[in-house]
Amino acid sequence: MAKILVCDDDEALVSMIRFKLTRDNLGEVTKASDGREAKALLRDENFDLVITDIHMPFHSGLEITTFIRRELMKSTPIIVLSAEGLENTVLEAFDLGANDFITKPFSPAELAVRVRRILQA
Amino acid sequence: MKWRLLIGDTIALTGVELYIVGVAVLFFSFGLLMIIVILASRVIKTRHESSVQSYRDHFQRLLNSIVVNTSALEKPDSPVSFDFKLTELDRVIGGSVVGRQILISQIIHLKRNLSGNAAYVLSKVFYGLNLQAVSISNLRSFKSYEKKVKAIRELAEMNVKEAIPLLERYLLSSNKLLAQESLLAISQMRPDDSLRYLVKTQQTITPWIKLNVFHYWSGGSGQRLDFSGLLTSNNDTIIRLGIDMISHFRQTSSIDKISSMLSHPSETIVVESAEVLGRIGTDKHAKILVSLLENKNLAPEVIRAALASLGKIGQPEHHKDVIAGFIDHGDFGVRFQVLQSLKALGLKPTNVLTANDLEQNENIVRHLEDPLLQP
Repeated sequence: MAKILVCDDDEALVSMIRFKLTRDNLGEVTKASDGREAKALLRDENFDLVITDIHMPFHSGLEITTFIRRELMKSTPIIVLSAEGLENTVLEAFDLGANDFITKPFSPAELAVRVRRILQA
Repeated sequence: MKWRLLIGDTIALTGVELYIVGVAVLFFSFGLLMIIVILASRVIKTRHESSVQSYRDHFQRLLNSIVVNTSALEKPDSPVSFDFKLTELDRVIGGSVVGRQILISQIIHLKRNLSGNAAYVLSKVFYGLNLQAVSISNLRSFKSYEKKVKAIRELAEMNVKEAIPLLERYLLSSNKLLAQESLLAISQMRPDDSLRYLVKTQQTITPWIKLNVFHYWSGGSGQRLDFSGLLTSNNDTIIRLGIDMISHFRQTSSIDKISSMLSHPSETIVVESAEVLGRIGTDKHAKILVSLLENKNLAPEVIRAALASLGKIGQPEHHKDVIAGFIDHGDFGVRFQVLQSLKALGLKPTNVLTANDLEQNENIVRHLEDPLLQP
């Protein structure tokens, strides 16, 4: 069973993502409500996939991406989730090492497809 | 004369002592009452919070299963069907007003983040439970304006078109916030029809309103709408919105109507119209700008805008003299614009201006020739 870390301060959205991914048997979901908690979990555990929002308290999703790639030196796949679909933000996320970018509002079915594709790769 | 009060057979209090005891008892009773009130309010608040959290958890579980399992919409008899979940949600709410309000907030919050079938199914839940009636009732009731604003936003987010006639009434509300929110709500629900409301409004179009209506029009309707209709408004801020949108969506068919705004009494409107002519105008409009510049009583801001636009759409051989004619203007900004416009037309100041003019404006010429400012 894949281990997936979902970092977002939006409780309702995390709950929905967790429900969807668990129901589709895509993995076991762990939640981080802010950037600090996400960093601590990433230091202590190994995840098969990280889904992170850009805007979070303490550390942004882009900082989390940098942390995984530059400090932990891990190649864990990262999906960045954001309401901000600006070209520069998307490019910056990919430049920092994100594997995929999903703009809110998004379809839960589409998220599941992208997660499955990344986990199978 | 001394007053005495006998308690039992032994203790007697004087009038002053009695007064002190009375005050002490009063303070003690008041303190006790305050403690009871504080404790009671804490208990009520905690109960309310736990009831809100319990509703949230229940609703979230049910909404998750509805949103994720959109295929259940097509299986009416299944225990995981949409109707079954809807009945379950209705059962959880019971008759609770608080419960309905929490569900409305949760549906709107999720709908903002989700698209496709998931968003569709959330709308179906909202209408299936007749939650629009709660928002409409909140808007109709004599509640505080904050609650009314919240109701207006809910109706707009859930696109409750049946509420538009009610919202229209608030367009003329003396409460600016209510008038603004109803205008935004109608614009969001009917972007194609929003100009009809805007042209009539007497509200000041704030940057916030502008930002929002622009967002609604950016969805596609902005290309279809004829913003020149806004130029007939008697509200200057609406005219300015119209000018801005004609420029943004490059509606060249409305450019002649923009030209007619150069004779508007508002200086700001004249400046903005002149700027738009420079952005989307043609050679024909350069002539109109020249005519404008023949007026000797123009404000420096208007001259600057007209010169800047002339620098963009003018012809060097036809307009260099008109532009250069302002080099001895008293306003530094106008002289600066003269040299910038000449440069924009591809002309060198030394070929157009006299030695005296060049000497008088040496600092501007030097500034514009700075290598760091070159393209």
